This record gives sequence, structure tokens and C-alpha cells, in this order.
Amino acid sequence: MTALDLWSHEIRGAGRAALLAPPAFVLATLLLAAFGARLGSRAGTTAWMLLWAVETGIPLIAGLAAASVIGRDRATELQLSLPARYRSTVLRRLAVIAGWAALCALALSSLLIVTGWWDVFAALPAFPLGTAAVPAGQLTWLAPAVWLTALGLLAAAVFRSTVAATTTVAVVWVFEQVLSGPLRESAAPRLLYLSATARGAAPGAWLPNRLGLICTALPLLGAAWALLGNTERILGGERG
Amino acid sequence: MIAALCYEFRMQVRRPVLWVVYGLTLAALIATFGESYTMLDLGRGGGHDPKAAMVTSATITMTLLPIVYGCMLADRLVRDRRLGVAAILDATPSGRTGRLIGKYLGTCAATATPFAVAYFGRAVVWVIMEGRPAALGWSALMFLLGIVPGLLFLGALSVAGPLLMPPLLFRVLFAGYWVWGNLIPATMMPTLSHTVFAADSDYVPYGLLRLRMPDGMSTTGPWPGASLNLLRPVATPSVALLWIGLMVALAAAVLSLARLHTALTES
Repeated sequence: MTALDLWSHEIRGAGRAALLAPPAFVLATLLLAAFGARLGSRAGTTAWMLLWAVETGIPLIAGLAAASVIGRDRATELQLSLPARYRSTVLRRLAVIAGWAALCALALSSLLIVTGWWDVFAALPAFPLGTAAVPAGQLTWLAPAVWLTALGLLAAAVFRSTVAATTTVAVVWVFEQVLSGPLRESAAPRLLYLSATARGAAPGAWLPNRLGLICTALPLLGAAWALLGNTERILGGERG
Repeated sequence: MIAALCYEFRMQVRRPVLWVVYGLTLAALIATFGESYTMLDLGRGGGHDPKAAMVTSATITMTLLPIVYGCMLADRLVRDRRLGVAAILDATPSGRTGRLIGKYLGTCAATATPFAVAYFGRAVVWVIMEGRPAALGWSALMFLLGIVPGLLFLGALSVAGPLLMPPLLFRVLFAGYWVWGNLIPATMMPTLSHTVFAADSDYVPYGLLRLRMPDGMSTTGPWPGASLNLLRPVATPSVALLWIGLMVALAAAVLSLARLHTALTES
């Protein structure tokens, strides 16, 4: 089996939903940008909603897709008995899902930069970055996407149930949206707050927050990797 | 129908992950709300009044636990098809409509069980601490009138939604819907939150149970500057009854559409 066969198999294995959701989301966001004014939304409000969509939408999709990555295969018993490790397969599939979501997010933010919306973001009172920081501005979606993806994979490895793992990601996401005030005010949760760009951050707190998210995602991924090494454990999980 | 109800209830209520995820979410909720949860006071007054305390407890519980409820229900109906048992069940003498209603009521009741345990558990703790058993009655009334109608609608949405789209997409939309349609302030953007169509609504406590909200903190009735204020009447007993009726009617409508969908795709 060539590498191309392997990857095309993983693209098929990722599932229709994980492949269709990011571009559908990008399309919906662009429609909002194009017709926001006609719907009666002021430019500032539309810009804020676009920024919020970039920062929270794609990470939520990536996190939920990562949480559904285990337990999709038929005849898992057979796969687990092969010399190729199951966790390598899972990571390959995760790479397909996360890579595709990242590409879509990159395309969306590039389009927003080209169409001038990024400059409108910069004029928002809560925006913690200047226009000059456009490359670093990509951390807006990258950091929460990496963190939620890692959380999704870990939850899937711990619970061995897609339903429980996706619920965990959804709860964490809603929790961060609803309780943004208390989370941004306390010292430790501030480092792990997912929408520090759209909801605003104290001067100098934005970059530590983004780096904090990426750094804490690594132990989550490590823990998931360790758990996925135990094939017997995976076999005992709930299907679907 | 009764057999499907009992079977689905037992199957769902015995899933360990259901209890684990509810437990973790409740722990996160308690850790965040802290004193508001221990005192049952959200600044609206009345942490020592049984009725107000039970309403506050319901408000706090309704912020996050419905997400668990909806996501946990989202695989129940499509699971029959995926596992290939739908065709076998069709061959049994039970009717499809009866099976759908039994499945809906059974899984919803089972998924709401940890929810009820969390809510009534808090009520019992309050009664022991304050020594006023009237809270148990208020909590039962609040649960039946103020929470169950919302859960019936959300349950129908979660059971039927994944028929139209993959469960993954449904969960993305459901999480977005919960924030947009129930939790955000009505002035933030055009939204269904705080209207009679919101599953998490204050119409029952402030309309039917006659609880008084301190001045300037009212969440029911028109919001100054918000759009769709037409759907936000002032809380009265009849509006509260209208909200209950709407929730039940929406649940019935969603289930009828689901039944129609299965009839069209499986026959």
C-alpha cells in the first residue's frame, strides 16, 4: 500500500461530516460578511461576529471531529491485531481532520484580510492586536483549535465513547462562551480562555493566553497517545 | 410503545458515560458558580426563600446541563439504522409511530434522570440546611412546569435532528443553538433567547409561580433595544401556559416530521 493509498483511505475514513462541516461553516460566515449590512447589522457588529466565528467556529468543529475519531471503524478487532499500531492510524486520521479544518480557517481569515474586514476588527475596542500583527493574528483560531482538538482526542480516548467525548467538547465550548466574565478575570483560567480575541483580553495577556493554550494542548495529546496504546482498552469501549 | 419505552429507558440509564459526563459538567458548574450555587442566590434576592432558591437552582442547572442532555440523545434514533436493527424491529408487530414515541419518551426520561437527580439533590441539601421542607414542593413544581416542557422540546430536536444531518454536525449546531437561542442577552444580536420559543425560559417562575424579580433585573418581557420583542410578552400566568403549550406543540411537530422522514426514507 503506497502512502497515497493510505492517506486517501484516511480521508475517506474521516467521514463526510468532518470534511463538509469546515467549508460549509466558511461559506456561511462569508455570506454573513457579504449580506450583514442588508440584514440590518452595523459594520462593527458584523465584524465582531466574523471575528467570533473565526475564533470559535472552526475550533468547535475540529474538536468535535477529533472527539469522533475513535470507534468509527468496522472490525476494530481486526485492526487492533495488525502489526500497524491503531494509534498511528488514529493520529493520521486526526491529521487529516485537523489539517483540513486549519486550511479552511486559513482560507477564511485570508479572505477576511483581503476584503478589509481584518482592519475593521482592529478598530474594535476589545481587539488585542494591531493590524501589523496579521501573521500572529492567525493564532486567533490556531490556538483554540489545537486545544479543543487535543481535548476531543483525549476525551475520546478516556471515555471510549463518541457521544461522551463530543458532549465533553460541546460542554467546554458552551461553558467558555457563557462564563466568559469570571474566566477572564481569574489568573489561571485566563490562560486557558478560548475566545480571548473576540471577547477581549488585558494588554499583554493575549499572547500568553494563546501560547498557554498550545502548551497545555501538548500534555493532553500525550495523555491521549498513551491511552491509545492500550489496545485492549479500546476494544472494551462503547461502539459508535 | 410501553415495551420500547422501558427498554430504551433501561438501555440509556445504564450507560456509565451518561453519569460520568453529567457528573463532570455539574462539578464544573459548581466550581464556577461557587457561592451563587452554595447560597442559591444570583443577586435577585431570596436565597433563604424556598421558592426563589429553587428557581435560582433551576436557572443555574439549566445553563449547561441541557447541552449534555441534547448531545447524549443525539445518537439514539440513528443508532438503530447504523447497527442494522431498524429492519428487524420493523418486522415486529409493533407500529413505527408507537416505537418512535416509546423511544423518544424512554430515552428522554433516562437522559433527564441524572438532571433530575442533580436538581432534586440540591433541593434536598437546601431543605436539610434551611429546615424548610416547602422547598421540595416548589422544586417539584418548578421541575414539572418550568424545566420538563423545555426538555421535551430539546429531546425531540435531539432525537430527530441527526436524521437530517450527521450527528457531528448536529452537535455543532446544537451547541451553537443553545448559546444563541437561550443564553445570550436579547440585545446582543437578533435571537430567540428570552422569547416564548426559548427552551430555557423564565416565564413559569415569574408568570405562573408569581415570583417577583427585583427592579431592573427582569429577564422576561420586552428588552429595550432588542429585536423580536414581539415574542417577549410580559410574564403572566397565561403567557407561562402559552410557553408550556408551545414547547409541547413544537416537540410534537418535530416528532411528526421525524415520523414522516422515516416513512419516506425506509419504506
